[in-house]
Amino acid sequence: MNGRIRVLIKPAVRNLVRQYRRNILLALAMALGLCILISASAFSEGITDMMFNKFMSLMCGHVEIAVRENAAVQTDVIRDRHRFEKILRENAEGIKEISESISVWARVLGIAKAEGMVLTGIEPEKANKDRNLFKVYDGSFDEFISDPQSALIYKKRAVNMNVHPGDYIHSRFNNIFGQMEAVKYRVAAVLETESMFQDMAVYVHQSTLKSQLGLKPHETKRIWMYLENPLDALKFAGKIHEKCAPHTALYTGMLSGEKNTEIKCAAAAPHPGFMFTNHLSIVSGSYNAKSKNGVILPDGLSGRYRIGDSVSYTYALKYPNREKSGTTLRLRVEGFYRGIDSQIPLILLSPEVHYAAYYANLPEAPGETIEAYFKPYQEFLAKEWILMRRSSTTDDIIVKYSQLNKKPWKGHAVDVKTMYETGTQILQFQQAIDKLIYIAIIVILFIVLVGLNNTLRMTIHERKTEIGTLRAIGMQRGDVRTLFMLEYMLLACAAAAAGLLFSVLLMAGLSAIPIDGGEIGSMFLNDNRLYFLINIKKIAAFTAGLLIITAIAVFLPARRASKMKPSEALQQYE
Amino acid sequence: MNTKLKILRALSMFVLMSGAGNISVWCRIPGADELLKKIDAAQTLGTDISAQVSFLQVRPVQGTNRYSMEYYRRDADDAFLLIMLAPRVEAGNGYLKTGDSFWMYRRNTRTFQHINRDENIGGTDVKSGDMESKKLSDQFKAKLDSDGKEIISETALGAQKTWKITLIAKVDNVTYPMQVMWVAQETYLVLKVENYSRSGTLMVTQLFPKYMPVQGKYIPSVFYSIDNFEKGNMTVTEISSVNLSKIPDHIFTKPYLESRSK
Repeated sequence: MNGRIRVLIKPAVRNLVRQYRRNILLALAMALGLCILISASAFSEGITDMMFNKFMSLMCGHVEIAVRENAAVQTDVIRDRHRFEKILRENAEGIKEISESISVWARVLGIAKAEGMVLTGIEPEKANKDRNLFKVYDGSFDEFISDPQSALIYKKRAVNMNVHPGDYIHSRFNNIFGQMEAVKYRVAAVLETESMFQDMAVYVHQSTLKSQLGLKPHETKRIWMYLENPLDALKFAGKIHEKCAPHTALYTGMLSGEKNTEIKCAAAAPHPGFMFTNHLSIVSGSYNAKSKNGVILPDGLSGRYRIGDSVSYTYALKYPNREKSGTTLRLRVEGFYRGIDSQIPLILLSPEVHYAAYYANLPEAPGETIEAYFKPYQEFLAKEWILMRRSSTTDDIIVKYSQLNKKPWKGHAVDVKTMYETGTQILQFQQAIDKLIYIAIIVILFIVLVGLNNTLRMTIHERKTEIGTLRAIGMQRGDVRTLFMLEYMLLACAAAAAGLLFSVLLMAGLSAIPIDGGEIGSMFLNDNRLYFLINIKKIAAFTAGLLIITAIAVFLPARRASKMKPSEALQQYE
Repeated sequence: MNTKLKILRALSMFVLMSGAGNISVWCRIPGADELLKKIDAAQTLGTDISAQVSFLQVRPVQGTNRYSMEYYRRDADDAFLLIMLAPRVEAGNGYLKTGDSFWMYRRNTRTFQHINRDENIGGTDVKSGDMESKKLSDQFKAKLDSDGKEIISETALGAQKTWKITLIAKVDNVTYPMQVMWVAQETYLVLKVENYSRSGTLMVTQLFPKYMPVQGKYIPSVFYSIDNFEKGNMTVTEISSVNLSKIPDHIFTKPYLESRSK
């Protein structure tokens, strides 16, 4: 440490102690200001943490892949879950967990009372590992794990519906086809009420709910990813978004007519809005995009088939099951086209046929060789899905979907989003609180600035004689300035330490008090208590701010004091 | 009277009476396809229709609410338009179907939103899919019993002789995949429908006690939808001021719906 400063510390401390009352009050004011800033900031961080890491990640994961089926209508179904999970596993760096999101709004009937709730599918094995997350109020969690037709319900809703463990609840919801479904579950356990959001959930076995929704094992509603570092969500989503680019929706199969032997063909549909032109043209017949069973054959097959012929196209399924390993489309030849040259003939289905068949009966992948044949023509052909652009905010998501609604596309639309876009309002709420905190910072620091400045002016006025004496016995101007600076910097350091201690005590005390926040207030509470999340960087920033403001406030008066002539200073005394 | 004549008379009476009781033995039970086509023929208008529709929704806890709306339908292309008139909170909202697209219009935000056919109309139990013109024969087929026979029988519904048929959906886009239907034998009008969920739970029972004749076809003027899931809930639908005049094309457009909602 600088020798001068070492020498001046002792007199600085002595001067502080000499006017201890004034200095204690000043330090107390600074400490309280810092305490308020730290506590408010920690509360804001706590709310944001709860909103994102507890609510938003429960509602939509850190990153979500959703597929809007029939593009315009609100049905989220991923028909080929393994395809997307493969993409995620190939880019797994930073992923903590990949899970399916299976949930549906339902009308749930208890004993003579019904409520609107969300049936939420959870995997029993996973739930068993994390059973500490499920605080059982009554009943048996083990019974839930072992009974696929059981449910967990939160206490508040259980009381409203007058149900207890062992009772049955009846739920009514629409499956993925829009058909009404009614299912009975046995209440295995009642959970402690957490918050108004979580209270809406009724937890059931995921596999049971999937089957009741009409989802096959390779299908799901949404895929969620949880990351090691949630703050990486945006970057990760951008990377995954690129990987979700669609291929041409091609399927290979066998075409046959009533009098013809089968021939191997590829099938695709023209892109929506596609118009046949000179390059790719209809040579006979016509193309009707709304035809329910129409097919346009390449001109090369006009020797085998005629317009009006009934043909069938059989292709293998990607996910064969006991009932079938392939499917057959019954079609009617409506025309012939010219313009696509390839190793195997490409038949063009009407979009109506294509959309109805393709997603309900996912075909086997055609393979790279077949895809390569038709790569030059991919701009004419319908893709597997539309990859929607990344959104930046919740409002942007709304705009994006409303634009999608206007398109004639009836296939799938894939969207990759993070909890930040979905939870823009939470971010805005946090930003609003941060703005309030910044205003509070300015006010408090202004008060500190003015307080310090006034106090120092008073002190300098009172200590004019002392300054004159010090200067007369040889203390340099710089030393006088440093002495005053040191005094108040030491005071500020003591105030900062006290402020930190006060804030810790305040946060500990407030978070120990149980609060009944009601339905709305519980959003901001963790286990019915206030939740503070300490951000070390922000605390360091506030403390540094206090010290800097102190230095600024003290510098000018200290410099003025140092510029005093000894004769003038001593003259005052006389 | 001569004893022989008396006996003959008694025998004749017996034969007649037993014959009357067994008349169903000689009355052919139609096949499902035939029955469904006859139902469609009796009720499908094939023309445009406009009407005033009101729903009286009865809920034990929430009480009774009345909704009224204007309804326009064009069977030629399966288009319909519905404009809510009451209650005040719903007035100006609307529903439009053109082609395969269902739209819901909200007056307060002046926006259109795509909906599914299972969207509830104005918060009632009536779904937007219920307002479509649908052919039963396109959507349903008879359920078969364990012997592979269609489940159709003759039965009485009150004083009416009816065919009772159990139907299952042929397509996915129906709200209730299974229905049990009572159809009047004389008129092929649907008198009662029990609607079942995919898992076979009775969800809604519909009763059609009254029809009005309109140009040789029949439209239900009153019908009841009884919620079997939440007991006590019921919706009574009344259709009046039916008009079969051709509806101008501009009616089934978004701008028209918006203009009516101002």
